[in-house]
Amino acid sequence: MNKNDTNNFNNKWVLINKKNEVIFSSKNVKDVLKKGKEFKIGEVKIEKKLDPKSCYFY
Amino acid sequence: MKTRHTNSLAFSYTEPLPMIPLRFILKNNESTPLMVGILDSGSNEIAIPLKIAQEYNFELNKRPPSFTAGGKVQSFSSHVNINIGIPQKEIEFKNIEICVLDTNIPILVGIYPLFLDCKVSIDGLNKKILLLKN
Repeated sequence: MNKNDTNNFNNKWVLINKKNEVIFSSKNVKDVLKKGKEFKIGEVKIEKKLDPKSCYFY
Repeated sequence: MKTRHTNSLAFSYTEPLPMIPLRFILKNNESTPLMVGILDSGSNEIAIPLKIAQEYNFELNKRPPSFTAGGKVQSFSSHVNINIGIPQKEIEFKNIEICVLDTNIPILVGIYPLFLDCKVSIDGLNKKILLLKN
């Protein structure tokens, strides 16, 4: 992973391993879903990191 | 993968918001990767972004647009099978109607079906979630 990307995942979709480390990130969830297919079910999880100051409604 | 269905689940979370793992079971009985949704008692159903639905070819039925904090958004309905939990221990929901929004929202786990079928306890102090299904 690009070192410059490691500290800011706000508003990005991330792939997280069992140690709770981000191993891949993208603003496009499809990129992360594609990467997630390389792992067995349950080895990684996909999450959208939120901007701590944001508020979500729909 | 063998799945053990259960009536009670406990999770810890690290983010400020209560988040739970889930996955969608597809028509060919395959599964999406594990994803994480925000428990959101202010939403009336599960909502996902359109790009996830498109990636897995969910059948979409157009709904009237939704008016969100981000503006007017095209929305769709879809019927899906969802397992909540980690693959070895899950609560299964079949043929659940969800909302699909053409915007980059996180996955939201609203009232239907989880809060209707389960006792949902969120312990914000200790960042733990307990689900008990009837």
